[in-house]
Amino acid sequence: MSNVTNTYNELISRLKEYRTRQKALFFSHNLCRVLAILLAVFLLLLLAETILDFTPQLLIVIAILFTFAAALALLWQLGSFFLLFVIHSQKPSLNDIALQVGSFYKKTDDRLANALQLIQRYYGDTRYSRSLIEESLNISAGALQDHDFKNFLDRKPFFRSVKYVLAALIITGIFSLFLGTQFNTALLRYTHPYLDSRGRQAHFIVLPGHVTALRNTDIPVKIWVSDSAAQNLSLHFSDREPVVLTKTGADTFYYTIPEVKETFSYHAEYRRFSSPDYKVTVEERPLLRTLKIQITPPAYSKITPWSLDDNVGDISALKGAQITLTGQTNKPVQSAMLLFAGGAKITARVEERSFSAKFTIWQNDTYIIDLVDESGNHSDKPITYTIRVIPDQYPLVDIVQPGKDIDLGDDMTIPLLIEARDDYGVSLLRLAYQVLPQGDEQIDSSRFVLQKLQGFDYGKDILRVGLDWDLSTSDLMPTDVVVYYVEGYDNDTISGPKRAVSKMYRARFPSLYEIYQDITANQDNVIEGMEDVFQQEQELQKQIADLAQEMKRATEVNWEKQQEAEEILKNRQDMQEKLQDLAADLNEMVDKMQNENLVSAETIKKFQEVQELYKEIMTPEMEQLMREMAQALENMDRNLLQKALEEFKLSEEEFNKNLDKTISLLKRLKIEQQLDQAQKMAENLAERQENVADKTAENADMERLLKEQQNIDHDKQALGEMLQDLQKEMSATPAMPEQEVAEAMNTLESDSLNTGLQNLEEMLQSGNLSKFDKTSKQVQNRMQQVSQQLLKAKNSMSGAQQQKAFAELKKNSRQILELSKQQEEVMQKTGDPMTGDEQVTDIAEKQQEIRTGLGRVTDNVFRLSKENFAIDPGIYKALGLASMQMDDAVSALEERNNTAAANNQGNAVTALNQAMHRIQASMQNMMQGGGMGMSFQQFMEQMQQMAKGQQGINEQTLGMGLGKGLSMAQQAQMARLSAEQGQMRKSMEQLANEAKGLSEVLGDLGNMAQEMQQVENDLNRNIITRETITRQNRILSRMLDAQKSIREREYSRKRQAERGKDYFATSPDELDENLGERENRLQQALLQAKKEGYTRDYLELIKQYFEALTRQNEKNGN
Amino acid sequence: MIKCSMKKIYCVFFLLFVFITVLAAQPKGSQFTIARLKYTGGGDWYNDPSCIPNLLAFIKQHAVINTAQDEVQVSIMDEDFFSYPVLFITGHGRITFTDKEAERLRTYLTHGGFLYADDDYGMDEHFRREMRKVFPDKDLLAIPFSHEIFHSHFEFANGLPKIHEHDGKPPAGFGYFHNGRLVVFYTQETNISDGWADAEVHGNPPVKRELALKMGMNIIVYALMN
Repeated sequence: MSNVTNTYNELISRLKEYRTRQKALFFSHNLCRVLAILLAVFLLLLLAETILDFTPQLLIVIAILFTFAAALALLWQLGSFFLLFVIHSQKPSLNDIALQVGSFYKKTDDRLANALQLIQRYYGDTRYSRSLIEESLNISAGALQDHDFKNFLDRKPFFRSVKYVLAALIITGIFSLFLGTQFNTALLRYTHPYLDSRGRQAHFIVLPGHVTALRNTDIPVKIWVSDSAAQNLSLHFSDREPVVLTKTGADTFYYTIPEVKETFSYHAEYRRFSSPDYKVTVEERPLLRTLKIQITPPAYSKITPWSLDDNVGDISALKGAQITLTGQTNKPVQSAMLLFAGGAKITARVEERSFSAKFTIWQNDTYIIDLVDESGNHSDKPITYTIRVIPDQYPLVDIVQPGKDIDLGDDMTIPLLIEARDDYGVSLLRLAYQVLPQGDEQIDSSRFVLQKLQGFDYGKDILRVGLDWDLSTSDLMPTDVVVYYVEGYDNDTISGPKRAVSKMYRARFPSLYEIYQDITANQDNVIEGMEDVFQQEQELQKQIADLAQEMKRATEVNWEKQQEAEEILKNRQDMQEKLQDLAADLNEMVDKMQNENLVSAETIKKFQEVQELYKEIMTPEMEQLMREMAQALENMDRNLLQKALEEFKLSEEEFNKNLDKTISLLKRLKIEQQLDQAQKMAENLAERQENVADKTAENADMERLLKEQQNIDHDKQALGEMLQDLQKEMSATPAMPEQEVAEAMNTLESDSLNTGLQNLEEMLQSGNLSKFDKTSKQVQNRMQQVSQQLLKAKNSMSGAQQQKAFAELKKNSRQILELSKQQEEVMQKTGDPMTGDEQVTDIAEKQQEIRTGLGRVTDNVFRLSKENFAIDPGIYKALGLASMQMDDAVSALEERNNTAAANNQGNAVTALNQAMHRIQASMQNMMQGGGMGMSFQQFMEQMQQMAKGQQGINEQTLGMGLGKGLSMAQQAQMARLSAEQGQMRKSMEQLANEAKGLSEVLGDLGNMAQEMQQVENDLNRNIITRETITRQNRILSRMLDAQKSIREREYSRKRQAERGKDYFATSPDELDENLGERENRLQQALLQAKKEGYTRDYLELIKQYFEALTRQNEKNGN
Repeated sequence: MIKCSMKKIYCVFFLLFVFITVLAAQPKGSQFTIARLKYTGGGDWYNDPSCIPNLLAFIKQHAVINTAQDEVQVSIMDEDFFSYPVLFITGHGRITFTDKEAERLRTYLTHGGFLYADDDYGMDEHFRREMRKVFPDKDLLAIPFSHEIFHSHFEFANGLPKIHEHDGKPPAGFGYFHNGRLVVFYTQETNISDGWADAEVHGNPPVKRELALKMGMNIIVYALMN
């Protein structure tokens, strides 16, 4: 058994070896074929590259494809090997191998295969004979014993393949040998596609490579190329033509890309090599696109914030103005900073492309806005803006009115017109003053009292403050001086309010006596001046008469005559100028009297009449004559000169007459005025005495009060002197109330008054004031008595004037009578049926004459009726009716309608007769009234005086207390009061009599006198009851009511309801744009000007212009 | 015609709105009245006591305004001075405002108040002088006929009606403006307010009285609307 096994194993082993060798041959064959193919392809590729010079990219592709293919082929071979030797290691089967081996050897054929099949059954299958199997195996093994299976292998394909490989290698070697470097280079290129000319890879270094640049900047480019042989290379751009660069250094090329605008890419190229693409990203510098500046002036300026025009960065504003600056940039910025030349830096708040900053301006400066973008780029060449601080000017304060040192008037007020200006508003005005007592000239700056002026619209640029500064409560004594000024502050809350002070003025409180002395002196000057002119005028008249006489004899105008005539003209001119100066003095004097209420309104009215009269002295005709005379002289024309002299002479006579009349009136008026003044002075002394008493009760400064008491005494003496002078003046003038003035003088110089004044001074000196009030009241009453007596004198004097009016009325009545008579005659002629046409014409002319005459009379009556209340208005009405009838009569006569004319004439006669009746009634009234009627003003003054007196009596009566049981002293006082009340009653009776013409308005004044009588009786009986007091109050109340009634009389005359007629009215012009708001107009104009950036000088001009406009409007009465 | 009617309807609605607004602004239950200004100086501020009640009644009849029956009398320094939207001043004579009064009146007028002044003869000089104290920086302007006050409710194409004769001149209206608003209306040479008084007071014929009341209503309507 072991032989079979051994044989079998040996055989199997040999078959397996055969199979292995067969597979190895197969694998090697295939491998050689693949290698041969790869080599061939490789060789072809090398040749192709050598010839065609592929681009690196193609080379890379080819290389990749080749590599991939080779890898696949080798992988396939590897797979094949694995398949052959691992997976199918048992294939083909040994049986198949045995068949292949058997086929090579004829004797064996398929015996080996059979034997192998049998041997497998040898151990398990008993159906087969072992021996047979052994034998079969031995035979087959024996037959193959000497044969080497390796010899059966077919090696030819393998060797063929090897030949191919070798051939490929040889060919490659040959190419390599012949093509040498090129072939090698080609091989190198496949492995390293980017190789330079020398077969090396070309390297570029491009600086700056990728870069971000600012627009418009130059970019220097530096390129280094690894090929030292390179002499040129090209630089390529995405947005422009390439440039060829020439080597300027060791393998280095330089180029500057000018002013880049937009983003682009670039690369360098050398031969077929190219550097990578680099990107130039162009960025802009941060740039200010828009700039807005809002200026908020300091609040005190009250200017509303305004904005500058867009992109205007220059600022002109007030110190302290807040600036809000906002801007937009072209790109997002990381910071924005305001850099000031003064060193300050302000960081703006940034948000993307916008920024904002706030700052306050304090001084002139400049600034720039530095922007930094997110890349850190700063803005390029930022604009330098200027800041100009508009200075806030000091305010100006001026006391426009009075604007000079003045004397205080009767009302103790100073009408102040204060003008304060400031460019941005006045915040405060204060009136500073101090009282310099009599004789003290030293101003103590620490003693000024400051009084804020309130109630005005502070804050305005121009403040015009008008106020009546009432000094009546300042305890001023006559001859005290008030020094005052106004200080103003502007509203600059930034730098602090600036102060300005007006000029300092003085207001002196003159004593009334001083004022009157001053006025009297002025009046004397005027009268004296006019008397001088009058004297000159008389001389001039003589000169003119002489020359006119000489000219009659002369044949020509010689040099001497000419000189004389010229002298006349010159003198005349001088006189005229002097008169004009005197007129100015007179006007000034009247104004002063009027403004300071120094004399009565009636006296003022008379002065005004004199002023009117004064104007008539210098007539236009006189001027014309002077011109004619000058003309004659110039022409040396004898006849003309003579004629001019004659006319001049006549004119001068008229002039002389007027002048004389004016002087007379002025002299008379002077007396009236002095009387007026004396009365006012007495009244003033009473008031001052009352004031001292009041102050004493308040325990005021006793020293000052004593001084004032002494001043009262002094002024009382002065009043006495004034009355003495007045008496002298009156004695030289007819129809003067000397008696009344003498009575007043007696009262003034009475012992009781002198003693009373003396006692008052002593009381003040000693400080024992227990009886001061009582004594003071007595003195005061005395003074008031003097005042009343003087008022009575004045009225008496006016009565004389009333007489004159009476005379005029009488004269007019005669004229009316005459006219009535003529009218009657004409009426008879008109009514005569025998009157022919020619006579009608004459009648008409006569009628017209009567009408003209009536016109003159009517004018006179009208003038009189305006001056005197006693004139019945019905007179004027009747005369008007007569005039109307006469006019109608004339018309009827012209139409030859005699009947109608006669009728009208009859009516005219009737109306004239009515007028006559009324005139007579008025004249009767005047005669009955004694004073011949009383004017409204006279009544008012007298009633006012009486009311004051009654008030004094009432107070004293009340002070006595009710009931009986009076002491001796009280009884004496009661008797005095009774006497005063009796005096008051008499005055009232007289007044009631004089004011009959006003009875309609006043009611019965006589009732009041009766009441007074009853009071007087009570006082005489030393009984004061409640009824007495009530009665006294009623009397006083009635007096006051009477004044009110008479005041309203003027209005009531016009108030009588009269239905409105229809008028054709035209609309006023359309309203002006400013609607009368002057300040607004100025402010708006200034504001607008400021906004528009006008310079300070122009602003001032604009301001002045509008102020002038405003003043013009005010003048025009708007 | 249609256009005209529509305009009127609009006007009526507008007026209604204004009146309701004014009324709503007043304290609940309060009634509109005109305050007569008491002043010092001697003039008769109390003149024609029946004039304002008559005007108020007329307004009540012609507009949706809850008017009081009587006037109120107020001085400038009174505490309730600012409580009245419309002031009325008249008289024949002197008027004086102290500096404080002038200042207070100015404040009133520049803060919505309205003053109607009617010269009853003799007031002109004093009123103008005193108003210069109130408005030293303003001019008293003649009001043209085109101004709204002549058209605010009734149509007065030819300006003020002539109610009374004074100096034989045509009637004239003047005014002060503040911020474009007429704050003071002053009538002269017509005496509108006399026309509001009872018929027997001045013997005005009905036609004149009606004109006066209509103009009065125009003034009040203007004052309330502006």
